[in-house]
Amino acid sequence: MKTDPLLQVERLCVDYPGRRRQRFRAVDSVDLTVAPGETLGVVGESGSGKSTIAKAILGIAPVTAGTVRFEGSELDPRRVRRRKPITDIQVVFQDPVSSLDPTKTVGYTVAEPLVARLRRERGGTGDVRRQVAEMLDRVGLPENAASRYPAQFSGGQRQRIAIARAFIVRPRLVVCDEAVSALDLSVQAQILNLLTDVQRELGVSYLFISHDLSVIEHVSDRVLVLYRGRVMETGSAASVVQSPQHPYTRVLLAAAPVHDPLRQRQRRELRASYRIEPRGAAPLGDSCPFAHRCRFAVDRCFQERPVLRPTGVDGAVACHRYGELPPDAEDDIPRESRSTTTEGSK
Amino acid sequence: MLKLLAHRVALSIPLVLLVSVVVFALESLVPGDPARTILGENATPEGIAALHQQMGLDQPWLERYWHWLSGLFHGDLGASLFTGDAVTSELNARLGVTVSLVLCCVLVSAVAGTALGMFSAIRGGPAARVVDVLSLTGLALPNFWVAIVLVALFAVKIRLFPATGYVPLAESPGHWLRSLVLPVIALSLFGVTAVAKQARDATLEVQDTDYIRVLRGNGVAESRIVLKHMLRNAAIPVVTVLGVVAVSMLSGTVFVEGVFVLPGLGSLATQATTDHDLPVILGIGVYFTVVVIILNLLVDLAYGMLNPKVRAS
Amino acid sequence: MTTLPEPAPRPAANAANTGLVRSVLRSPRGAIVVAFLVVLILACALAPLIAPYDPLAQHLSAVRSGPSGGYWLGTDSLGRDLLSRLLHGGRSSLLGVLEAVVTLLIVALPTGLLAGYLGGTFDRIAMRVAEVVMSVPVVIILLAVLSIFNHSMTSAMIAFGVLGSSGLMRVIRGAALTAREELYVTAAELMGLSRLQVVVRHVLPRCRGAIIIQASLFAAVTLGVQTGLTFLSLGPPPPAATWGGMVADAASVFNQDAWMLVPPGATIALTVLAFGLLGDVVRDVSAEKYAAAPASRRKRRTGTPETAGRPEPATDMLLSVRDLSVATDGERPLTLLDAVGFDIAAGETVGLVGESGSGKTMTARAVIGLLPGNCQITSGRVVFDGSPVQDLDQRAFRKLRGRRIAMISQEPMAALDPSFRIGSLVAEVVRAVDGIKGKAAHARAIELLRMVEIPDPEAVARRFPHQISGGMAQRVAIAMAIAGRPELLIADEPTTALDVTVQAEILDLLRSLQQQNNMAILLVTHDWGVVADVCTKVVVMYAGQVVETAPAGAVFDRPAHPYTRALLLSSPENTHIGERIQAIPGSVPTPQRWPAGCRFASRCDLAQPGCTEGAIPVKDISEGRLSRCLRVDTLLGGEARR
Repeated sequence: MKTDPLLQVERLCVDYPGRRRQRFRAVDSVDLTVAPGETLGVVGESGSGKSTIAKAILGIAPVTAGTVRFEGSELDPRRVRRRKPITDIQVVFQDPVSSLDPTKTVGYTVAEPLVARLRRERGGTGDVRRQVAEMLDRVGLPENAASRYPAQFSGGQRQRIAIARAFIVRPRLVVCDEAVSALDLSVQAQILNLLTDVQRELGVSYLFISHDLSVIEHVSDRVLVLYRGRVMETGSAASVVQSPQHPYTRVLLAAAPVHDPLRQRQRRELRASYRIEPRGAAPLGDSCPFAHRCRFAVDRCFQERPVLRPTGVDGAVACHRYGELPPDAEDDIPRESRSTTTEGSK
Repeated sequence: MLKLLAHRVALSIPLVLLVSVVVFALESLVPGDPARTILGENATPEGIAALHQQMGLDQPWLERYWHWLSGLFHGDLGASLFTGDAVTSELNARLGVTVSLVLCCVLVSAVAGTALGMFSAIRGGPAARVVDVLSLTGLALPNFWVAIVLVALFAVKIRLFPATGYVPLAESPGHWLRSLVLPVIALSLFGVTAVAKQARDATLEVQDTDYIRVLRGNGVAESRIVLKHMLRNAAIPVVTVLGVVAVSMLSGTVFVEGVFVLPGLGSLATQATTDHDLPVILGIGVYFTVVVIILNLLVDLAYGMLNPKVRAS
Repeated sequence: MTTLPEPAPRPAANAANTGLVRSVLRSPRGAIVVAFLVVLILACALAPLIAPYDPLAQHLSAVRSGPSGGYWLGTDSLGRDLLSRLLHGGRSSLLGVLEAVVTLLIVALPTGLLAGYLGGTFDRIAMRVAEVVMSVPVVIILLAVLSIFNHSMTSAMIAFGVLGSSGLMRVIRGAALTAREELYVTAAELMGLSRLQVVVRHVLPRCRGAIIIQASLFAAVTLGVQTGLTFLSLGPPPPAATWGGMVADAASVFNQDAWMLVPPGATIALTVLAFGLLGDVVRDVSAEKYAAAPASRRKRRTGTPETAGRPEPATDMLLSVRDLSVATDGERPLTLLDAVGFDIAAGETVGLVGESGSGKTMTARAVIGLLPGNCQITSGRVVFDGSPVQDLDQRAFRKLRGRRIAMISQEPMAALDPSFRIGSLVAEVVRAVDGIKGKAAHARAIELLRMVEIPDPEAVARRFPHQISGGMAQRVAIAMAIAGRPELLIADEPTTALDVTVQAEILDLLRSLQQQNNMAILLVTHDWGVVADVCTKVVVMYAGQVVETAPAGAVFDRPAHPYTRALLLSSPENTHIGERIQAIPGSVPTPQRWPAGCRFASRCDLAQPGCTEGAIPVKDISEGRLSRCLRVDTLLGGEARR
């Protein structure tokens, strides 16, 4: 291990009560690490458990098993209401409306975590106002924002307020749970830039959760691909997106349309080549969770749970048939010259 | 669905217990001698002693409660302090009146309220404004006052309906209906307006849903959209409010029956309160509670039938 | 500069900065209601000082006199002054209401907040108790209390408050439960605030509106019950003045004198009304208070661009929209769509692209004649298959819908009526477009479900919408839309709510259905990937206008409007790893702030002084390409790259 990880999650399981007294395993034995200053992207579709992992780390999900270590010390797995608050982990949520109290001014909202921490540490609260003003300025909000209410701001501006609230206590790790998913394309770009800029300045780590592969690829150093609560593949952002190893990752990538009709036609053919009629119901327990939809599945995939096997430098894939699969018929047109638009952007 | 009904029935037992325990407990808490309160200032010591004997006041209240409760299981609610008649026979004779009144009111509230509310929501504009003002008035005017005005106008001034009295359904359905028209109007005014308000809000909400827009966009006729899809979906919240309305109407009989001299449970309750006739009040409490439970059961049934999510589970 | 500040937001809305009380007083209704209640309460409280007569004094010379100079509201059958009796009687009524409401709050507030915020066992017990209490026939308990406590109205009112508290408790619990789900409450918990701090700071303020509304409604109900009890003379014994008692007095003589019914009846009704309205006002005010600040609607020229002559609709197109403008109703109409124009040929897929606020959904709804109730077409033409449809009434439009133009919407779940089975929903549309009923309609519905590649359509037809997945629901919605074999399908963000793998399947389905039936699609989307996947032509909208029209291939290669180019560049997909995204500064202007000239000028790196002077005409660049940009030559010449 190169550096000590900032966050280390081992064999994390989260169960929710389901129908008829059965329990539904939302997160199934997930391992992950986030190094200082690093961004780990977590990508998956609905039901993949990506937001549940975030909740478990924040202490707002019922952890059934596993450990969460932060800076080497194990976090109390109890719900957050009962454990000591960890100021070094902050969060930015998806919904910019629900994440701000409409009855409080922006200044109050941003100052609140700072004041709470200062009170706990019995320090003075003298320069809170100045720090709030600086932080609001830093995230690009007008000077008078502090005295106004969230309703008077647009979605993008609200997300800036939420970011200011997260960063005012100088956290080491910020969990971004679909933080840009509710935003329009042009606003999303502004917020992504803000997040990367702040990271560069303050050296914070991100656990960045999104369903959008292009966003994940853009912000992440490493990527974790989840499907039905399990890690299917991990690795550097470039390697996972450029040469996906797991059949599920390939299907996921092939389903995401590219901004070019020509390349999209090829991708569509690639997608068609992966598509099969689902074989029976989704398997549970000791099997690959993707086996029923996998073109390459063999009997073993339905009977034995695949373990994560290392692929390259830092990648790993949970597939019995790793190494046996034909390489992905990657698009013929090289990525670098896919359109003149992006060329112009250099 | 069955689970829902079982739940409702299971709740009824603590309900009866709660109502009766509270009354007995309050009675024991009250300062002074209940017998003296009942008989008034110029009671003779002998009278008080006799009443003590009759009410079992020499025993602790828990014991008296137990006595009453065991009677309840045998269908015996004791005897009226005032007339000495068995409470159950007195109440049974009057139950029909109150039940007819309340059922008619629920029916009128449901139909008229839903129609008015949906009309107001769909039509909009001045027509809706008129309905809104009417419902505010209906909500504000006390029912006993409306009852008096109705009698003054339609029974005394133009003699359209009988001012007072009640004719049982079995005797003459026509006269039964005529005798109920004015009381039902007075009592359902609140129900109609409450239901109309709910129906209006629900319709406005349904009107703005994607599924109504999609049905319209795909060519489904407006009449079918209104009568089938809007009515069905707006009915779900309306049924819920109907349960609340029915319970409040039961209470309303206490204020209204007296005005129309209807021999129902409500007017008896008033009389019994004036007379401090506690066994009768308790008995009416039990009867009312049972009626409330049945009404709630009906509401649950209707709700379950309307809402597929409940039906399926 | 590392961040891109958005334009200075609107000036602070006053409503949000002031307290709830001041907001209530500021609304005309609220001011009247509060003034009435204050005057009434003061008058009753000061009754011994200000009442013209002793309420019990009998003026036998003026029995049952109507209103007069001496007796403003007249006298009763014993010659007692009605006004004085009203004022004195109000004391017990209003005091009763106060007792009941205070009791209500004492019981309901803590239990409701705790049950909602803590949940768990406490919540379960509290809810059970509330459920039982709500079924108690309240009036009987009141009568029992009055009987036991010898007509003590205070005891009755306290009992009423206790019994009524279960209703308020449930409302507060509901509000607290909703508040608990809000992310800002989660955020507050993560900060390490204590439970009490979270409740007081973040949960209670959200419940305040609900509490006031319920308390004032309860006050209205209490007054009704209190006067009812005094009407039955179960309260203070005669000759004490009570409002209900005055009605009873009047009732005994209404044959001789109907007037006596009016003063007490009107007073009770007005007071109940005032309490009820107070609740309504608080509800309206608190709904507004935290909603977006009301926009200042400046007077604005609805700039009709000076294009050369009036554009004529194309006659060879399936759908031709020209110069279409939509505005809100009202005294100061707000233009939402400004001279929108585009064509769709038979069998073609046209992508209508833009960010929120661009007017793309409004355009789609105008085409199918389903504009929101407060909006209307103010000018322009929508020509479908050669005949204008923009002026058709709903009845005439219905003949087109389903059979010739159909639609699917964004949220597949919300698009299906939750009360009906899938089969019956599809059959409903079949009945409308094919005129068949019963078994035949059902069989056709099954066939349609099969056409949208739903496995086991018979089984799916028997399910309710909440029993199927989102992707399946969108297939059902598509089945409903294609039931009438439409020539044009309006699809408003049909895959936005779906996972990417499901999106791919739905887009494949749309493509194959389109090829089978030669159906044209107007696809509203914000996703360039979706455009690249299915569209043949793209119409880009910005701030209520079409800024560019182009074949799909060309728009990605050589966008002909700076907005299109900037929007494409702001996607992380089109950004090299490790580089900053080229975000567009600022935000889309709201309709209130559309400038006179080019609406994108303030965010555009090609903007020149001329861009802001007047409305920008649409330029014909080449075959099938239109751009609303003065500097399109520079843009396409590639000189001004960022």
